[in-house]
Amino acid sequence: MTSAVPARTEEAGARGAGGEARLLAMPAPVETLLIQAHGLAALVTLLLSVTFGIVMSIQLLAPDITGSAPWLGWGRLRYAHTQGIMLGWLGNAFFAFLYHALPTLTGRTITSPRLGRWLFGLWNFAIVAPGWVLVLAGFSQPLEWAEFPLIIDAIVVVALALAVIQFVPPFFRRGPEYLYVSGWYIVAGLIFTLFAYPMGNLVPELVPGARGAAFSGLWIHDAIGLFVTPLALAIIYYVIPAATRRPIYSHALSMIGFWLLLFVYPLNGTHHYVFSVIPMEAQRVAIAASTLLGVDVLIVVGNLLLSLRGAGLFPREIGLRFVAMATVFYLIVSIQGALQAQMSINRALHFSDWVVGHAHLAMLGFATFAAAGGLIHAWQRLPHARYNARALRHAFWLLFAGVIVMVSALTLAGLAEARTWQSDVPWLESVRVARPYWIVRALSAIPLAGGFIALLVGLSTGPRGAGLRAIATDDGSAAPNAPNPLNASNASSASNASAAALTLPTPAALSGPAASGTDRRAAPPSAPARPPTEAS
Amino acid sequence: MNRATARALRLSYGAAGVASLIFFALSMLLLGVWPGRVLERETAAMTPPHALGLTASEQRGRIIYGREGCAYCHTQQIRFAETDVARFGAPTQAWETQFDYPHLWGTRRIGPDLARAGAVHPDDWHYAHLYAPRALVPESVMPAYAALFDGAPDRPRQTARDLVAYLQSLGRARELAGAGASAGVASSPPTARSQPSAHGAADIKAPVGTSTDSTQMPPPTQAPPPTQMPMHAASDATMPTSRTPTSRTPTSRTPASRMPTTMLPTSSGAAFVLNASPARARRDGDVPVRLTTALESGLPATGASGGANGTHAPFAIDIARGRLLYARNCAGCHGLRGEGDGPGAAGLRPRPTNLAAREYTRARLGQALWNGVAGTAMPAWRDHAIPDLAAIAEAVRELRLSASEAPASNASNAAASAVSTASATSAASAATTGARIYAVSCAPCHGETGGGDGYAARELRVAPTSFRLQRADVAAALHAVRDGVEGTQMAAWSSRLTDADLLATVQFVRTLFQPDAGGDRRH
Repeated sequence: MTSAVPARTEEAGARGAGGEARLLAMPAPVETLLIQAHGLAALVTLLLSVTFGIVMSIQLLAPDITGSAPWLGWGRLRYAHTQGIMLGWLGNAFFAFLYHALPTLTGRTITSPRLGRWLFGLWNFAIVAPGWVLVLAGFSQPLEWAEFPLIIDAIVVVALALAVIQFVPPFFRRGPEYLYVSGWYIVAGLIFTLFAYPMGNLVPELVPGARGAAFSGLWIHDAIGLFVTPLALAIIYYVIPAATRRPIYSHALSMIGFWLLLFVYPLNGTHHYVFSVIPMEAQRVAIAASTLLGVDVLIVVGNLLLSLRGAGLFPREIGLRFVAMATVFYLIVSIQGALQAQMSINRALHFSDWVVGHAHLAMLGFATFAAAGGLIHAWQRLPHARYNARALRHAFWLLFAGVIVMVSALTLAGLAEARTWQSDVPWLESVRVARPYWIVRALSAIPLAGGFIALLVGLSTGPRGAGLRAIATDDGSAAPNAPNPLNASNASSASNASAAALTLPTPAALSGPAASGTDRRAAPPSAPARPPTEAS
Repeated sequence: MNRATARALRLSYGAAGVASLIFFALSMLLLGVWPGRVLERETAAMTPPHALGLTASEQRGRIIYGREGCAYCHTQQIRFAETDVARFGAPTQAWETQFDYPHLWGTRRIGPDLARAGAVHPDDWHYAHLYAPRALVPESVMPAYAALFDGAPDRPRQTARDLVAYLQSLGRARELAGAGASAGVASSPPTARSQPSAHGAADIKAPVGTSTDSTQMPPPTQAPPPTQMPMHAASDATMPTSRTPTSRTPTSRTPASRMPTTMLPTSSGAAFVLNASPARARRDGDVPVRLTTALESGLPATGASGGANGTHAPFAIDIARGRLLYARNCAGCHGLRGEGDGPGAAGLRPRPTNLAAREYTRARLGQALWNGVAGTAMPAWRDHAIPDLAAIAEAVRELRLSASEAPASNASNAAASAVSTASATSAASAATTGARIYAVSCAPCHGETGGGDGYAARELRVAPTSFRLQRADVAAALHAVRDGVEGTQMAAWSSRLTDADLLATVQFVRTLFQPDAGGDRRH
C-alpha cells in the first residue's frame, strides 16, 4: 500500500522572496476540497450556534424578548447551541484539520475521498441541520450533550464509524512505534467517541432515573474528554512543532500525558453528581480521577509550553497564536475542573454559573481556540485559499477579550449565587444577584460575535495564496533557529523537510524503505518530531 | 531504531492500547454498571408498596418538560447537602426516580429544584405562572409558555394541563410514602439496606426517631465527610428551616401521616424530624412564636439582641422594606395598591383578595404569610426571614389605611350607603335580622361566633373566612355575599336574600371582628 498511491502534484502559489512559482509535490495528496468544505461548514455552524447562545444570554435579561414562539424558547435554543458547537463547529473543524494533517502525520492518504464526501454530507445535512430543526421543533432528548433525538444519534454513530474508517487505518499502515503523539490522540479520540456516544445517548433512555444518570454523568465528561479534548490536543501537538519548526520538547512526556489522559478521563464522569444518591464510592473514584487529571494536564501543558519556548505567549503566526492561547486555557480550565470536583468546593459551587463559566472556558476558550488555530493553520496552507491576516489578528484579540470577560463574569456570578444559596434568603435573591453579571456576560457577546465574524472574514477574504506568503514572512521571528524559509522552494513542504532534517531522525527517516529520498510522500513531516534523545 | 527497540515499543503500545480499552470498560463498569446494581437493590428495598408511576397525562407532561429544556434550569435532584435539604426537603432517593426514562436531574439551578414541586402551588397558580411568569413573580427570568394556552391563563390547552399534571406529580410518591419512606436511610444500617430485601416493606416501616445512626448518605455508602453532614440543627442562624421550630412538630391539626419525615441526627446527637417536602408545600401548622411575637408586640424576631438577657429591645418594623418586599412578591397578584388586580390575578380562582378593602388582625396576616391559604394560589412565604414577614404584614395593613384615606374608596362605598338609606330599617332591627340570617345561613360554615369553624367547614377546599380575624369593607363584603366567591364554596346569595337582608347580614358580620388589642401601632 505504501507505494500504491500516486503522488499528486499540485501547483502551489509559493511566490516568496524568490518570486517564482514552482511545481512541487506534496508529501501525500491533501484533500483540499474537503478541508475547505468542512472549514466553511464549521464557520457557518459556529456563527449560528453562537447566535443561539447570544439570544439565550439576552433572554436571561429580557425573557419575553422573543415573544412566545416555542421554537425560540430558551430551553430549545440551549439544545441547539451546545449540540451545534460540539458537532457543527468543533466536529467540522476537527475534520478539516484531519484532512490537512493526516497525510503529513502518516505519510499516507485518507482511506477514500469519496467516503470523505459522504462523511461531509452526513455530518452536515443528516446530523447538524436536521438535528437543529428537530430540537427547535420540540423533538429532542433532555440529556446534556446528547440533546439531538435518537434518530440523529443513530446517524452520528454511523458517521463516527465512517470517520474511524476514513482516518484511523492510515495511522496503522506503519507500526504504532511510528505514531506521532497527534496521531495517538486522533486515533484514541475517534475510536473512543464511537464507543462512548451510544452509551451517553441511548443508555439513559433505557435505564431509569439515578441509574441512567450515572451513565449520563459519564457521557457528559466523555463528550469533552474523549471527543473534544483529544482532537483539540492533536491540533495543538501538531501546530506547535509545525509552526515553530522545532520538535515537541519531550516525546516521552507527551506519551505519558496521552496515556494518563486516556486512562483517567473516562473515570471522571460521576463528578457531575457529587452528593447525589449514586454510591459514594463511585463519587470518590471520580473525584480522585479528577484530581489525577489535573496533575496529568500539568504534564501535558508543561510539555506544550516548553515546546513553545521562544515563540512567546502571543506568537506572530496567527494559527500558532490561537493554539498557544488554547494551551493556556486548557491549563486553567483543567485546574479549575480538578478543584471544583472536590467535595467542599462542589457543595457550594455546583449548580451555579461558575460551572457555566467553566464549560465556556473549556469549549470556547480551550477547544474553540485550538480548533480555530488548527483551521487557520490548515487553511493558510491551502494553495488557493483566500487569507486575510489582518482580520484574523482582530479575530484573535476580540475572541481573547470576549472569553476573558465572559468567563470572569460567569465565575463571579457563580460565587455570588453560591453565597446566597448558603444563606437563608429566598431563592429569587440568587437570580437578583446574578443579573449584573449576566449583563456583562451578554455584553461579552459583542467581542465574541465580532471575533467569530472576523474569523470568517479572515478565511474568506484577502488575496488567494496570501496564507502561504504570510508563513514565509512570519517565519523568521517565529522560529529563530529554523533555516531561512525564503531560500526554500516552498514554504509548506520544503522548509518542513529542512527543518525536520535539522532537528531529528524522524520516524519516517527511521522507517527504512520509505525513507529513500526519492519518495516524497514519505518525506519527514513538518509537524511532530521525536526528540533527538530518542534517536540514539 | 533497531528491530528490538521497535518490537519493544510496539509491544508496550499494544499493551497500553489494551489497557486503555480496559480502563474505558472499567469506567463503565465502576461508574455505570456497578452503581446501577447498587441503586437497583436500594430501589427494591426502599420502594413503598404503593409507589406509582405517572398517569398518561403526567407522562405527556414529562415529555413537554423535557423538550422545553426545563431540566436545564430546574434540577430534580436534592443533594445530600445541608443547603439543598434546607431549601428543598429531604435528599432525592433512588427509588423516587425509578420511573424516569430518561432522568431529568439537571446540572444547573437558575430556578429552584423541582423534585418536590408537587403540591407547593395549586394548578391555577401554575397555569398563570406558565402563561406569564413575570405576572406572578416580577423578577423571574423564566420563559413564558403562552403557546401552551389558548390566549389566556385560564384557558389551558391539553399540553398545559399535561405539564401541570406532571409538575404536581413531582414528589408525590415520596409524599404518599409517608414517614417511613426515608426511615431506611436514617435508621437501618447499610448492610441491611444493601441486601436485596425480601422484607423490603418491613425495612421501610422501620420506626422513626429511635436512631442514632450517623449515616445519611445513600446506602450502602460509608459515613459522609464531616464537613458535609450532619445537619446542624442547632445552628439556628444558618438554616432556614431551623427557624421554624413549631412547624416541625406534627400538631393536632396536622396528622403525622400527612407529613413525610426523615430523621436526621444533629451534631449534638439528638435527632429532629425533617419534612421530606419543602416547607412551602405545607399549608397548615402553627405560626412560629417568633413571628407572632414580631407581629403582635413588635419585639425582635431573632432574639439575638435582647432575648439573651430576657429583656426584649424595642423592635421597629422596617416599613420601607415591607413595601419593597410587597412590590416584589405580592404585587403580581394582589396589585401594587392591594386591590387584587395584579397582572397575575386574571387566571387565579379564587381571585387574589382585595387587601385594600379588608382589615386584618396581625395573627391572620401571620397565618396567611406563614402557611399560605390552602386551596388558593396564595403560597406559604416561609422562605422569607421573620422580620421580613412582619414588615410585609405591616405593608399590607398600610394598604387598607391608604385606601380608606383615598376619596376613590369613599365613592366605592356609595353603593353600600345607597342601599343603607333605601332600606330605611332601624339599626336595631337590622342587627336582629342580620344575626338571624347569619345563624341560619352562614354559621354552618363560618361558625357561630364567626371563627370560620362551622361544622361544615372541614369539608371545604378553601377554609371559610374567619370574621373574627378579618373585616371587609361594606362594599367588598356585599359583593362577596351577593355574587359569591368564584373558586370557593361561597354561594351567591342575591337570589335568596333581599338587598336589605344582605346589608343587615354584612353589618352583623362586621361586628364579629376582634381587632388587635393594641390597635394600630402606627396611628
